[in-house]
Amino acid sequence: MVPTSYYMILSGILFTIGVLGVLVKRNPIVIFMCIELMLNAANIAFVALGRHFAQVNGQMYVIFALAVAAAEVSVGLGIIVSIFRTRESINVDEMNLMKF
Amino acid sequence: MDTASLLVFISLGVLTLVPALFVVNSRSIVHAGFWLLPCFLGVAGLYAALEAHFFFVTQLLIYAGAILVLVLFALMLTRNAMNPTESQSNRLKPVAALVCTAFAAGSTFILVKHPWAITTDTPKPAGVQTEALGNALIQNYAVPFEVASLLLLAALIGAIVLAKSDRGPVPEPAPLADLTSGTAGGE
Amino acid sequence: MTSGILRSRRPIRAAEVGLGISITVAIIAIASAIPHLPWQLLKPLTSFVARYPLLNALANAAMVANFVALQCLGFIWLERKFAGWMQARVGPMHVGWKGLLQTVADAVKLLLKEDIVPTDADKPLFALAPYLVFVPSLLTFMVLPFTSAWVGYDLPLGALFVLSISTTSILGVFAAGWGSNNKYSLLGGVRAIAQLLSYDVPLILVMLSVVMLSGTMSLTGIVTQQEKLWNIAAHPLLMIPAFLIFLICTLAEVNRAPFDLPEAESELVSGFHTEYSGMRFAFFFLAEFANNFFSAGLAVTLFFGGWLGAGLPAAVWFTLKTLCVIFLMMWIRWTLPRLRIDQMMSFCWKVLVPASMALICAAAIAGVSH
Repeated sequence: MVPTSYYMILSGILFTIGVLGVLVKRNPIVIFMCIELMLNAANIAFVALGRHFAQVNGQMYVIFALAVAAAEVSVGLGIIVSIFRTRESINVDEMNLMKF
Repeated sequence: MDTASLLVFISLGVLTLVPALFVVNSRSIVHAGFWLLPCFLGVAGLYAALEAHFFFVTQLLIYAGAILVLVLFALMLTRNAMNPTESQSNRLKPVAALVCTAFAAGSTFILVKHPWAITTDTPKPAGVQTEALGNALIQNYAVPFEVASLLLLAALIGAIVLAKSDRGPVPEPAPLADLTSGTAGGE
Repeated sequence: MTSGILRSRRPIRAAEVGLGISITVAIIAIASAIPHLPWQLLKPLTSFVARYPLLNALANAAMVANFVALQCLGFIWLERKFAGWMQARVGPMHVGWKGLLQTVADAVKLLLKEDIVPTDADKPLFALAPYLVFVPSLLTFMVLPFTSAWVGYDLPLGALFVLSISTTSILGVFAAGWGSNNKYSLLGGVRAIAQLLSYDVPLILVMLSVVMLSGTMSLTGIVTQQEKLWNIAAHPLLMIPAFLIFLICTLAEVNRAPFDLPEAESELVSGFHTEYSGMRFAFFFLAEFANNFFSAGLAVTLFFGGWLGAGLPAAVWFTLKTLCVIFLMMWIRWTLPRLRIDQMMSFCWKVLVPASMALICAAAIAGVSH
């Protein structure tokens, strides 16, 4: 088996790539993709640590993370599409109103 | 630690991280979406290497099958919203890249300094593992499980509300007989 | 859009080879990450091959790929003959005995065809799409139990694996529809995605009800617990509706009439693979027939006792039963006209989903009362 810290390092790097995307991207859908990367990174860490400590808790968190990711994607993308319908643009730098 | 598992880990790590970089860097949004696929496959492979079989399958089902398709569908609905010839990043890119590299280097440094011991125990077979997971889900984690189901229900309703147009129901198309009666259509 | 100036394949080749290699590496990496992959078809070789996980994974993949390619030849011939019979004609007659080699001739023709890429196509996606459709349908065969020993890999979560792998083929359809840069392709792609995603829901629910009654997700396990009575006979009130829903959903999943809207010839030329020619088109075709065979085999596994049967060898039983289901699907295809897209979607969400939900509740009650 590969040491758990290797998985943790990989998860850290993947998370950082996701953070980078969220910081610099202008299209909210790409930002969504980067959030998915971050969630995946967290999931890897959970599974690796659950394996390390031989406990079911780590995997349990992943189940809930999956549920949250699915909910977030469906509602978030719905919001983006409806913003696009009303404003014909989805650039996050131009979204500065709570109501539109 | 044997070489084979290290090799598997490295190849899966490359399969995960390199496409992830392309997701962030790609100019075309659709390409960014498709770069997510090898990344998710790599994560699924990592789960398999960690012998979390249930998550190997679930990762494929939920991320590669459902979430990625939803994201691409949203791309299709908002197409031409952003011109792919101009830059997709804001002006903070160099600063952000610097900060993120520093963060990654820092976290890697900390994790290298604190190596977890190599686990030697053999994990339970997949069936037993999944059974334990299911039992935990309806015993210790019953309340969070119900909350998660409520969350999903709320998301479902929210998505329907967002997607519903204000224009009312789409009118039924005219029956086929009316369409064909006017013109004598022949092949 | 469709016409435009056409270009030959040269500029895409290097990228495509790279893609092919990376896909292969990905499959091998995932397959070798799963421990103890058994390769049980040719026992004498097993001990040698099994020592090397990479070789083992490769051998498995090669077996499955060959089987898929070969069964497709027979399947297409059968389909053509059956269609001819339904329409009171003879079908292919000229190449080989009763046209048996017609498919081979067609395959050779497809290989020799010029490979055309539209000028404005999104080239990497256009090249990637056939593989994205083909690889998942290939991977599903890894877990299909032909007999108790003849399984690529008896995954304990086989039923879930099948579902998850088959949903990823949607991405290939999207890539084809989007990458072709053609309105018919895009429309076909949108229809295909909507159809596949919607019909996945009742399919998952129905399979879940079978899993609940069987108490296992392993496809081999589902068959072995039907030893006394096939599922469809053991719980007829539950399993006959379940089989019907399953059949309808698989017809939609493999894009066969009456659900062939993604490639409705009279409306969309040929749907998402309008722009494809040559070998890439052959890959789409191969994937479709492979999916078809697989879903028939899955129906046999879930409802008709898989390889179980008296007298004949197990593999023969499995093939015979699968052929029966395939004939049923062909019969439906050549009998019913195509549906309209809104009829199809509302049928799925308003009839099939509630029905399969009710089925799950019933299966839970039946499981408790056991």
